[in-house]
Amino acid sequence: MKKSFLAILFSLLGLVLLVSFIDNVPYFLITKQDVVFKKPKGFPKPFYDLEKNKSTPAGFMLGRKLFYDPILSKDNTVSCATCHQQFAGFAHTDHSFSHGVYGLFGKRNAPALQNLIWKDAFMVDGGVNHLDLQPIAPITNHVEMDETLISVLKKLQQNKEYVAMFNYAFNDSIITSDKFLKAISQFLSLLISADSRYDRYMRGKDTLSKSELNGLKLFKTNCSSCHKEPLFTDNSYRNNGIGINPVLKDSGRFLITRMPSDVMKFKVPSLRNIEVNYPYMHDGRFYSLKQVLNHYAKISASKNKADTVLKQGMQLNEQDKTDFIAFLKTLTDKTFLHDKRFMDPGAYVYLPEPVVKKEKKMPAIKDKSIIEKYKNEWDLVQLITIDGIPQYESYIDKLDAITQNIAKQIKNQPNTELENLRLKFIASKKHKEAIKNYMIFGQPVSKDEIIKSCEKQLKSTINEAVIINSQLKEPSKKGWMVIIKYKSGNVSLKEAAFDVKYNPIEKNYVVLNTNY
Amino acid sequence: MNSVKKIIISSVCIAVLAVILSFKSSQKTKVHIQFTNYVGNAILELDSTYKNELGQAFTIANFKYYIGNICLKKIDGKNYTTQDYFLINEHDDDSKQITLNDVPEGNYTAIEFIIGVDSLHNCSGLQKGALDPTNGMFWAWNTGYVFLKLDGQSPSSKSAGNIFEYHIGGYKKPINSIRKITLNFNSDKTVSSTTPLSVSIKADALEVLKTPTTIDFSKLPSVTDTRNAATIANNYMDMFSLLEK
Repeated sequence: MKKSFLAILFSLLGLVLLVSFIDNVPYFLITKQDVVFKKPKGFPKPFYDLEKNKSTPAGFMLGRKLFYDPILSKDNTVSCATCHQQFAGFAHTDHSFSHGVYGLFGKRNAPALQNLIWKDAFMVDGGVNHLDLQPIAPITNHVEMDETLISVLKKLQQNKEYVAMFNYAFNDSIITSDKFLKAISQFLSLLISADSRYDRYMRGKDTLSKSELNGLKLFKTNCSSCHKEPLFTDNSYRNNGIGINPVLKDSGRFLITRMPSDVMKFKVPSLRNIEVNYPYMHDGRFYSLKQVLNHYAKISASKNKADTVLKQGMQLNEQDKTDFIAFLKTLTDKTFLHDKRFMDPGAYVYLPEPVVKKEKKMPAIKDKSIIEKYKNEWDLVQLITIDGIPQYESYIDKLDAITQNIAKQIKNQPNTELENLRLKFIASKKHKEAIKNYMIFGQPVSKDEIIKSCEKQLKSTINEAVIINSQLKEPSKKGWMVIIKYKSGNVSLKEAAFDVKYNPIEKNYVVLNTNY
Repeated sequence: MNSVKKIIISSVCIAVLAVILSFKSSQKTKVHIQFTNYVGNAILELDSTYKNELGQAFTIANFKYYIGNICLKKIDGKNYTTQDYFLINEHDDDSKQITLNDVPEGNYTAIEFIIGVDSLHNCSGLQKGALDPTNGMFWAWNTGYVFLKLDGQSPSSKSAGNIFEYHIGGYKKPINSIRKITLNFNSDKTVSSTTPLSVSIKADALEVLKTPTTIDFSKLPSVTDTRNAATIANNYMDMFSLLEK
């Protein structure tokens, strides 16, 4: 009895592993599912019009690549991600001010990037009025990236991989400011944090400790009028009484509106992921939440013309402060901070954790020949190649048709085996789709072809060279390194003169520039 | 059955014909608008030396401005309007010629336009064409278009390189630098397909620096945000006039 149970368990485990291996899609590949916008429960309607710039897998991948690429800065050293780190909720951990090009410092603390589509304005002074226009500010700021929009577009247009990606995302290989900024927005608009322990508690899916609950109560009485749930900001500008920094002399919102009433007002920031996006305040003057609490506990409206809602200060004992901070830490959204979709696509091989799909209980099938019929159909679908280019589009369409036929059959007569087959086929189809997404950027070549091309180039430049042996070494930044041995006994290292990439799914090499 | 078909086909033909005829009755034609930049009474030449009202010498290196919401006014009130924007740039002769393609025939009495970019186009995100932010007439740190740029040098200016720079924008309260310009034609202009209309407009850069406020290069060499923008905007309000033949 025990043995048979174990056997069943192992075979089940085997099946799960099999499916998970088929499902081994590198993390940087984005599927349609990954870019679907789902409004979190309780969140208001976004300010950003997603209908005008809907994220697509290609657009999102392009936007993400741009976000992580220092090509956007004058000396190619600073990317958006330099000051907006995912593990810090896309703020800059432990930096009051961030370093820009040439090691220059800015005057303000890098804000967290999250739930941006619910913001009516950007920057701590609200100077930028649209998400699509926001990236222009850091790109052109002299102490941040110090570039011009024209120069960035020029650099991208000269980069073959970007041209291919723009072509893929927008069906047009001419890179314009419009497409460039829309691609970045397709990435930024999906940076949504709504799965912290607080969120799960509100949805009835998690519990909070006694201390955290007391913190929540204190928060509701003292803070929630400005840090309004569920976004934890009311998008207003307020003077919180910290006083002007005598060195920076940053008067905040006043610089935008020039209205005396706006002096020292700054945008109320969201408290989501507050635990990880320290230091705090517009100039990053406080490094701990306790410092922040102490400030608000002591504040009175008379001090530094602070907002009248702060006039009473807060009556907090030590336990209250501990509880308060415990609550603030429930706003840390680990799902968001570790979301693979938002990670740097620079490193390329990654195997995601196996996903175990839950099966519905269905009756067994009587006619086994149906299973065989679909298996045969599946096997008969061939990947056609035209001029060496695999035609994934029609291939996937045919596979898709089979899974849909199975789904129809299951609807009429539900059964477990057919459902298993369907799930297996879908995983396999997803795998092919991932390959297709990767393939769009280049054609596969063999190692031998790379070596031959290098030798050919060498022979044309050095007449006397007789090559006796060559071998491929690891990729360099520009291309691939080929070790070449001459008849004379000399050995030289030659760089392949074209961009070659490793395709981790099919485990072969892909040439981005086919004119070699 | 056949007769029903015939009736349907012939009625469709008549309808199509009627539509074609109705289009023909209100024919549309082109109107050319030519901007010519001046300094006082002389056509602007970059790097030529001019004098302002205070006798301070200056040269102009850059002169650009946005024109939008062009409206050709008719006596019967059936005005022609376009939502397009145009960036007139001294460095680009093509930019100084605007062609409106679909102006209905008729008698027009005046041309109206704004210098600047209206709030809608300042608030609705990415724009293309003349309003593409790559055109260098865009403030990234305080979203909005620069409506007019006048850059140059004057020995009277004490800033680095003796430069002066007037970059004027601001589309909302309290600083709104958009100015509406109305230029009345001396006599009604008839627009027809046989006699297309050409309007020639003079834009006087010297007017940016005077009336009502005379700009002293030594005191105000630079306006690059909304501070003092209203002063310059009130000056450029009267920089346009018609060059009637």
